Amino acid sequence: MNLTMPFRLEPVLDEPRRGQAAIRLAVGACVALLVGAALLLASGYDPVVAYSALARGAFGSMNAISGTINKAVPIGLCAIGIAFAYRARLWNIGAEGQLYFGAFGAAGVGLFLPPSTPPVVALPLVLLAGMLGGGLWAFIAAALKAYRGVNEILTTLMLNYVAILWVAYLVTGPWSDPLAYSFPYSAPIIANAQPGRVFAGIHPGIIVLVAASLGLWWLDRSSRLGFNLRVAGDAPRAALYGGVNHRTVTLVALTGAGALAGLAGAIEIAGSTTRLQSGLSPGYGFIAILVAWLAQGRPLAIVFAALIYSGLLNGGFALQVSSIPPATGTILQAVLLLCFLAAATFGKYRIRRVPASQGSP
Amino acid sequence: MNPELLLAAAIIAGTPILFAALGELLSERAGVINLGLEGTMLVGAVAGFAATTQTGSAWFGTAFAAFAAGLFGLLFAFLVITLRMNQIVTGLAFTILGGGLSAYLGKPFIGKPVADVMAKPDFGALADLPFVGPAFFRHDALVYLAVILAIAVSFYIWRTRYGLILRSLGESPDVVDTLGMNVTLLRYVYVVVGTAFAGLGGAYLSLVYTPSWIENMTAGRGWIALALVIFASWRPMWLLAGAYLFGLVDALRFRMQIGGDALISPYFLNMLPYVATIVVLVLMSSNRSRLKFGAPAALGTAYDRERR
Repeated sequence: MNLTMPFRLEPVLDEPRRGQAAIRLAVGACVALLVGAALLLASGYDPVVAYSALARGAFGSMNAISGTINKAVPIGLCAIGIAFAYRARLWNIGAEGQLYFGAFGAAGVGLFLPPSTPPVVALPLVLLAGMLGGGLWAFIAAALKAYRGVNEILTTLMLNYVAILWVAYLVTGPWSDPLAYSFPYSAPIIANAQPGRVFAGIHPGIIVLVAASLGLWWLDRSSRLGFNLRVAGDAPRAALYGGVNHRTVTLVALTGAGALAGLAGAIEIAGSTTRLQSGLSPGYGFIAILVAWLAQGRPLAIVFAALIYSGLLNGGFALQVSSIPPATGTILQAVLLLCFLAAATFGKYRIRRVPASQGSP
Repeated sequence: MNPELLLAAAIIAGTPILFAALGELLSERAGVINLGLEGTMLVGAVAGFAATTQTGSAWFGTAFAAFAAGLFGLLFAFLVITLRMNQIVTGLAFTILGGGLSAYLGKPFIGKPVADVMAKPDFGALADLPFVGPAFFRHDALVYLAVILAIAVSFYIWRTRYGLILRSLGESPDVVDTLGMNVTLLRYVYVVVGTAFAGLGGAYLSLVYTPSWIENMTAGRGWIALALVIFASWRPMWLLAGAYLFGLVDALRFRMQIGGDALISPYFLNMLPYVATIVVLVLMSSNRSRLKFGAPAALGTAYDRERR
């Protein structure tokens, strides 16, 4: 059967200019908003009302802003870890599970420290335990990849659910809080490990996110590790001849990504929930993959993209008040992402008309 | 509890996973990994329920579920095959999109009873046999459709010319292209048919298993189906066995939650499919078994004829 398309995608070889990328993203956003508006109109809602409710819910009040910033922290931290691993062309689909296992580590320390532990000791210990937990969970997939060549996409994906179920087991079983009326909660961690809200409902996790983002930026610019990761990912043969140990790179890249996701879990516990609970994360680790991809792995863009995404999450709840289904926010998230991804594709390829005679070589 | 009823429950719990995993198998054999399975099943579930409510026919609802999910898959295919967008990221976005769309469209149907009961074939004397009857011969028609599909897909993949082409499509699409076949068109077909199968899995949940429409009612079955495809190392008949094995785990967990006298926490039972899949991945990782049982070599990569 001869089914040739009149158009084809041709790779763009010249270096893209920065301004073009911004224009493409803006076009992507507009298309997404139009698609969302069409959907809303088709089911009898006013898109202007919906979008303004969404924006108000995301950024319209101090309460909304602090919620958006706090939710951006776990998303952003997981995304920076994912971008870090992807420097070595390794996919970490397991940030969600690493977040949960980090939260398990953090709660393991935070629940059982003596309550009189001074805050300067307690909080770092809890955060460290979170990184350890997340790192350990990612290390399983890292070691399987490094020593047995097992596909890390599949192992990190599967490990997610094991970690989520492990936490669900703990908070309904051995660690369940007898005072929580059969909610799947643990008891709160000691008060000295909780930093509280430093400013208008915002917890200090945002500082950690910005620090992590700057850290990745520095790693890219001026560190040997950053260079080795990229070489191992983009030119494995060159890395081999250059003496970069591929196993070490794999272990460091994935374990580091896990440690950051675990840190996100610890921060969620110390800063937001104050206790281990099932449903700790509504898919932050998965959203982070999309955020990292959207930002094309750029450290500072990740922070920005995480804020937009958590704004959409946060604004989605506010829609309910205007009797518009909150699922609109979810749909808009996905449509926005797909439009951005398509926009990025048009940066890599240009559409060319294929003359009829050339249709089938 | 009775072993024959447990077996029956395992088959019922395994059926939606089997439909979805069969679809994913076709797609992955063609070289396209679809992580949007969970969202696709939800689209099928809501479409099937809505169409059954509108027409009063569960059969029509089931067919419509496959159609709607296939349409959803067509969009996915366009993005990852024609636009060559990254399959992993696009798939995850489709999980979110399917969850959002189904919740949005399904709002009027929450709490409504299903309008029609799926037919049950009459096996006559077979259904009256002790043990075998209640375990195997008293199910609804979709259970048997899933089995027939699995056998048909197995025959297709291993015994037909087109099955051979399908297998090469995932291993080395350039060979298929060299033979003069249209890689793009073939991948489109398998992705769309695959998502239609996943839609059937969703319809089974909302029309038979539950039966009603609940937001996010797949509850992770799409991910289990993804695990199952690997667990069965991309072989339809192993998939059939694996689906009922995972279904048995599900049924056991359900029984234990009701019974309350659990030997082992139901959470650990729920981990089993994922842990078993990782174990299988490790077992497959030696060089010799990787060739025989491993993932299709071109899985997850877009085909670009100018870069082969």
